[in-house]
Amino acid sequence: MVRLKNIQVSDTVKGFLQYRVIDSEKDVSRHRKMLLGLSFIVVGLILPKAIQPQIDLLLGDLHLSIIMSDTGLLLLATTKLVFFNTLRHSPVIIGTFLFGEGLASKFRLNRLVFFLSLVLIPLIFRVISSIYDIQFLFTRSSLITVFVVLVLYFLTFRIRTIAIKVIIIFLFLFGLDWLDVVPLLSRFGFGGGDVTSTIRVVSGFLNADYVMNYVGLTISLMLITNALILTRVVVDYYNKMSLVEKLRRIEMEALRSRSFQEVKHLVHDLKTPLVTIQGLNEVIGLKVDDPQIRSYTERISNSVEKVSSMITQILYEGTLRPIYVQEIMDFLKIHLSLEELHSRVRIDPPPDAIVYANKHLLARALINIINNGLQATDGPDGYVHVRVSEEDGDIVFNISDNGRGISRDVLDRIWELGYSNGKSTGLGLNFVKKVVNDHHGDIHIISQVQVGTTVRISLPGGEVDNEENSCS
Amino acid sequence: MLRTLAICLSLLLLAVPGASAGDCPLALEEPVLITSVGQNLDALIIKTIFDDMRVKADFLPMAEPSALADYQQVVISPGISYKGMVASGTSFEKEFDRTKAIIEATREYSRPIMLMYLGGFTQRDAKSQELVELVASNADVIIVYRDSGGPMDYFLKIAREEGVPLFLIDNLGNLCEELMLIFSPSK
Repeated sequence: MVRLKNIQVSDTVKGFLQYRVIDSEKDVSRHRKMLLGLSFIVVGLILPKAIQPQIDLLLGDLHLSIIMSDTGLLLLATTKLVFFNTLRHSPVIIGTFLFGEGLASKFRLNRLVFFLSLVLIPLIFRVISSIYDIQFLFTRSSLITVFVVLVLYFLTFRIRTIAIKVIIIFLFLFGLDWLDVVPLLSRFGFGGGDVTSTIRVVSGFLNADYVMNYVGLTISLMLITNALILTRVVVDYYNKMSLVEKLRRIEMEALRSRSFQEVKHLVHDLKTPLVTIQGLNEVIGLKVDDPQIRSYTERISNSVEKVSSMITQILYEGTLRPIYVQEIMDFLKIHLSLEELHSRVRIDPPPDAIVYANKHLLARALINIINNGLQATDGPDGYVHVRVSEEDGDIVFNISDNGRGISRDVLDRIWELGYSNGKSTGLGLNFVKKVVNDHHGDIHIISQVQVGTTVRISLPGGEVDNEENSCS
Repeated sequence: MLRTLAICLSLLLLAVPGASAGDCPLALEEPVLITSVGQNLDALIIKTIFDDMRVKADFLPMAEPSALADYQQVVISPGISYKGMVASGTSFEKEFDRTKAIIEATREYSRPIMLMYLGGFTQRDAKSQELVELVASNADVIIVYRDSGGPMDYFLKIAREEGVPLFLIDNLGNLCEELMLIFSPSK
């Protein structure tokens, strides 16, 4: 970050450095999640012991409710029981989800979260059950376990804020645990535990089944509905934030583009003083006989011509010239080196061929593709391979990576302006497509998920024109 | 009156082969000892109901065999409440031994055993089933709450094979009325 302040770097370099920072933040987040998940699981293993005395006290409340025939005491004992049950459930489920997400993020297997939770949650509950002689909802029916894990997974997998995830899981489980004490549902396997069975019998004895059914179902419905609404609101919020972020990036790109246009005007204005310099330099050359000064004026004249040619290239970027492929690749290497991208890029020696191109634009398009390839490859084995070949008079650029690949649905939308996987502005590939079209060429992407992607650009080849090429 | 008649009729219909119309109502000798083997709270509900029925009964959760000398009949509620056992400072093994000792004492004192099963404890529990089987095979009467979630097939089998009268209770809220029809307190 210090380097960013001290030296002038291009947008691509900044983007790449930011990408590296984001990547390292992801590592921290992934490790933090796994560690936090394990902590929750440990709490889940310890908590039943801490809560047990409170649950034992519930028997006293139930005892009193029987002697005094007090439905209020029964409801109080029921509420306490459900709360303590949820308190025992939630750390295990939250912990498993967080640990699973961390692990899945590490291996880029999002579905791992669901399957890992499906295996780990019942396993941990069985361990707790065998340690403390507690019967959990999850240890009774594998069907209920699959259902609960599935619902919670789909409820929370898009929620990134851990605190909100915890609240939603707690709300949902609290709602679900209330079903355990609804007498109406006992015939469907709910409430087979020690204290819940006692509550059910006491409820029947006190003629409180109607109250228990009504209260249990109402509270359960309210809590589960709240969990669903909260999930919807949070997911909508994330979607809006992502949209706002995308718009902000597009605005930035537009601003940069406008600045570039202004720079072009300024560059154009540079031509006037250059003409003056060139004219006066020639006058000096004519008026002075000193060979040393004449040699100086010739060197000034050459330099002015070079500057003038560079200005022309900037101003007329759409102009295509026959140019050696080697020259484009050399130019590309210099830029890759400048943008610190060269270490993971392999470039094969190009053929001795000519292509009609604007060197600056084509190189920029190739850098964009290389940059995308590098973003798709994490780890030390990730690389981008650039090969150029001559095929039936065309010059074909093949840029391959061994990254995560692009799925079919993404491939269909990849050229759309503003379409992004979340890490970019969504303008890069659109620019590439435009450059290739301007060069009268074709571009194709061949990709396989988890294998890699190859971008193939085919441009018309040509013959060298020494006069035209001399200034580049 | 109509309600009582209806309940009695339903009980007659529900009574399985072990319990014929002639078995109802049963004689209830006072005082009655109520105990829970497995420390469930069902026994406390039974005690409350007996109080409502004005039956002289004592609830001794940890009753020892020697206590039987002071009572004419024993009501046993078998079923394990693990939390109840922790609260009473006992264990399954101790409860199992106490049950065996109580059953032996009932033979010694010639006291009938009534098994009452309401289901207010961990269901489908192997240890609870052990206690149920120990008591049921020695019971003179078995009274079971129909929706208890208990081992109904086992109770039906015992009633059929051993000829033990088995009564099913439909509604815990009407427990008092339903038990009044089963028992006929001797005054």
